[in-house]
Amino acid sequence: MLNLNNFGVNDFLFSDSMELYATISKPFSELVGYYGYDRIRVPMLSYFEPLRVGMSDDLKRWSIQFSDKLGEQLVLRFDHTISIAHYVANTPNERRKKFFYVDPVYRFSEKDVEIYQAGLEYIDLPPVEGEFEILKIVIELLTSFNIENFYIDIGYAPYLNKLEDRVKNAVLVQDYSTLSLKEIRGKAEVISEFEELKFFYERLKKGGYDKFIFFNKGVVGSHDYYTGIIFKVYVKGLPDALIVGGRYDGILSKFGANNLACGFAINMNLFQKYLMKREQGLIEK
Amino acid sequence: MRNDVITVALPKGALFEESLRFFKNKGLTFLESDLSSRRLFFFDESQRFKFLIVRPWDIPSYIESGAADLGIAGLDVLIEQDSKVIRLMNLKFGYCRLAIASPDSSMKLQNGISLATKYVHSASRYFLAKDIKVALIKLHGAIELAPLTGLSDMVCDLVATGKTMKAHGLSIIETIFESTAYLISNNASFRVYYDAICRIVEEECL
Repeated sequence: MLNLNNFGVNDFLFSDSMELYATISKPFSELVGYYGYDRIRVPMLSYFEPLRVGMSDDLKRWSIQFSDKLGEQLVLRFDHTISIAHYVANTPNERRKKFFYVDPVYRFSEKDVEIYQAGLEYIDLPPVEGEFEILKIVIELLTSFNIENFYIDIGYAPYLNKLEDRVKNAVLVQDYSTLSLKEIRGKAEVISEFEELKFFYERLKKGGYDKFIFFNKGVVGSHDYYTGIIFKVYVKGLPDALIVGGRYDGILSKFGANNLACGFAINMNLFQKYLMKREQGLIEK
Repeated sequence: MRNDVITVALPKGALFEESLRFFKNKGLTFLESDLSSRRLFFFDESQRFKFLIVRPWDIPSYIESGAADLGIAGLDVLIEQDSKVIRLMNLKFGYCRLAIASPDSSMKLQNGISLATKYVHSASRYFLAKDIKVALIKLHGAIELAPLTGLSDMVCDLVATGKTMKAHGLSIIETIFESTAYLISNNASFRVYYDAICRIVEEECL
């Protein structure tokens, strides 16, 4: 029988979990505010049609849709990146280039239907320096929470397209059994064929952040909108990526704009679980 | 970091001995008293690895949730459950194939036939790709009984040697996929224990 109570949304008491959300969102907002990001709130409810071109088939499947009385399709906020790209492309007067958000999204894809996201988008970013700033923010955020055991795996969208089909299919299902691990994941040696990534790595080294960074040809986005680097941040004690981000110039071009764009989203549900586990002493240092 | 214990989920039953041997061959040693006890978990002698004994079908859940870092599971289970884990190594043992068998070897796969199987997901994907509409009946074991008792026309089940199928008068019509045991890892553990994993996969000794 269908259980209509238990489908991935929860009641939260402010004195329990919501307070933990605040312990994440407040320092996050302050940190990105310092870097000049403006908070944006994209509508929770939109018509589906204007956003559709930016959405992957998976996102279309996962999003929660219903119709108005004239039969027009509506959609709950499923993601921030696409809505912000839509806003930027449709607001030519908008001079600001740095946006951040702290709001829930709704999808049928994961254990939680309601997922709190905190994240940012940087439009028209200077290449290399802009991506460096974004990773710097990620690293500063995690270290401000005294998290030291984290790993940033960086993949590269153009790389995937250069692979032969057999390897590409293996990488997509995370089957590394026929590949050599050291060729898939490592430091500078993995990216020797990509000049632009080498500059990026040099910049990270100069900033002293290279110890957190691994290049990984196996990192692919769950959305097909990434066009450059894709990164996933894993923290010891959490089963899956806490932060996912990357370059996605392609979405803006789908909305008819020609901007570079890069950003990331933090899964606050996971972050909150992590902080709770740590408080209970379940996470070793 | 150095003193971290890596948790490994091993499949109970047919694959257990060879799975344990894989780790013994990597240089891990075990106390006989640990292995023969009825406990559901034990450590290697160096205490660097904790082994859980888990039902084969439950292994992906342990890995996906991070309750175990590494595990050994049949490809059949990984495909059936669409497991979001990293497949590190084909261990080559535990060979079997998921096959469709029928009491009548001349019977064709066609619309309207009924099929008993534990592998509902794999079977429905297979028939969807072939555009054949079949009725799938989910069973948890003794699949061969289904056509003999009129529960279904055919079966879709794992075949290792083919003896069980033969003993029940079933002939194999088609193979959906072949399977062996795989070493798998949790997404985050792959990063956290990357050095140890590289040693397990690419070198002889741990």
